Amino acid sequence: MVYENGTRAVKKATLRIDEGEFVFLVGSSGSGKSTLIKLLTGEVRPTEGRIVVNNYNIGTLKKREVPYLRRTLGVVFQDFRLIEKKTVYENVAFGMRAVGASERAIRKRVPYVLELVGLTEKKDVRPLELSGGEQQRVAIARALVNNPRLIIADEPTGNLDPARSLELMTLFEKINELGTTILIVTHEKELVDKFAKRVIVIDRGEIISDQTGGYYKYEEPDTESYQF
Amino acid sequence: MKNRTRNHTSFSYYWKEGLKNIFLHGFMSFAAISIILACLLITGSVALISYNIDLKIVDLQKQSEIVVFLDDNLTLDEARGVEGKLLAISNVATAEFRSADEALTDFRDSLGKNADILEGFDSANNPLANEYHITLKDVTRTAETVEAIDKLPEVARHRVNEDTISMLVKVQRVFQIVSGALVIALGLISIFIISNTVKLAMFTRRDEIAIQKMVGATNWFIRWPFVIEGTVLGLFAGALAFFAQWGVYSKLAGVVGGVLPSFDFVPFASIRLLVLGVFLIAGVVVGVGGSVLTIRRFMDV
Repeated sequence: MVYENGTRAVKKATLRIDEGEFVFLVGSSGSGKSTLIKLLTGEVRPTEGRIVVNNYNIGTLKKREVPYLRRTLGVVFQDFRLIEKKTVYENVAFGMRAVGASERAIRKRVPYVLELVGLTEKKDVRPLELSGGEQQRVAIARALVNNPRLIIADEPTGNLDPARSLELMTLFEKINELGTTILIVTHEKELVDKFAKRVIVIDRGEIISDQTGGYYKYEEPDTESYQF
Repeated sequence: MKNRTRNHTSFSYYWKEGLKNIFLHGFMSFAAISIILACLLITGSVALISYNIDLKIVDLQKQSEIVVFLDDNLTLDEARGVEGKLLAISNVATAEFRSADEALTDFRDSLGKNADILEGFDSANNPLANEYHITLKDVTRTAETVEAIDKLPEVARHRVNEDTISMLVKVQRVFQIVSGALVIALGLISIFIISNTVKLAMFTRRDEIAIQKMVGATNWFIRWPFVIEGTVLGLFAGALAFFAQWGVYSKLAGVVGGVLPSFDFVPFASIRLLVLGVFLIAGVVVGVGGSVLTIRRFMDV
């Protein structure tokens, strides 16, 4: 993937993630993680190669088809991206309304998802009244509400303390057990170590390691910015 | 398999969202209404003043009539018969006949107490001729019309103040160019200010739009509430501007009427539907156009 300014962000990245997998994507700043996420969500198009997500070929995807690709995905960001003026319930329902779900379906689905993430009691609270961990759980609920086949979480624990991070990862594991594929982008070594999952390491746009069971190839960084 | 969720979104949802957004982003709504109102009022006032001045110029032009004097040898019936020939000339709007006797009576009346200088003159030795007072459809074609009139054998001579007419035509042209440029410039400035206000309003909601895009909302799902919001704000601003314009126009008409009694403004009642229609349409076009065009920037995620 080459950006318009000539930056080659992702190259030699061949990987396959099967339905129901739980995968960590790790790498330092500037390694190409964010570009890979943007490629998977259809935000940018590959300049060469082939990317297929939930049967959508990103390279040939028409602009008007991007929303339908995104309905098969749930995306969670480090900064939560919640609407401050809406309550927890409304934030989650917003995800369903945006895809044209009926009010009846929303009334049925949202309480279920809130219960799954443990926020039933906080449904009428606004995001700023919640802790960081709770806000991220709202974001997960919103990502989950349309029953996506794949959840992509970009540094979901970046703003959380270790205890909350662990709680959140346990929640992702629970969601994965219910059948949803999980792809978590992180640079937190401790978390990756804790959960013995498949780990893909990306460095300078190349996948340098792809191993299961929590193992991964770790090379000493040759620059100070390489923190993983 | 491509999973396309069935869309249950009804227009009532878009309406609800659009109206809710107006109150949720109250300050920006207030700013948008105020800016649209101010722009419509300023542009409208200049346009209406221009309209009145233009009407006045047209009035003055219409009053600049051509007087055609007929041959003395014509009988009264023959003289009256010339009316048809005059009206057949394409640029002649009206042709009002005044017999030599009527002209003499009018002349006598106009002299008042000095009328005795006309003593001894009557129908038998009337020095005045039968005449037609002609107004034109288009005063810029005065010369060619006069030429056509002069070709009629019954016409002896004519009187026309060509300098006045040509001056009025020039004034009207200059005025139309100046007022047109002013209205266009004000319109462009208004669009610039309004589009920046809308951009500011959108900027505060860019995160919301980005979230909608990320969860799979289509562009039109995102746009519709903005279109409705723009329509409502535009209609509201247009209606408010109409009432403000009414007040400003009446006040202005009063002030101008006091200073220049002969310059009477067209009554607002006769143009109110036109002003209301233009303001409502302009409000909606600006409100919706501003929203839809600006939102495109934030959709590309």
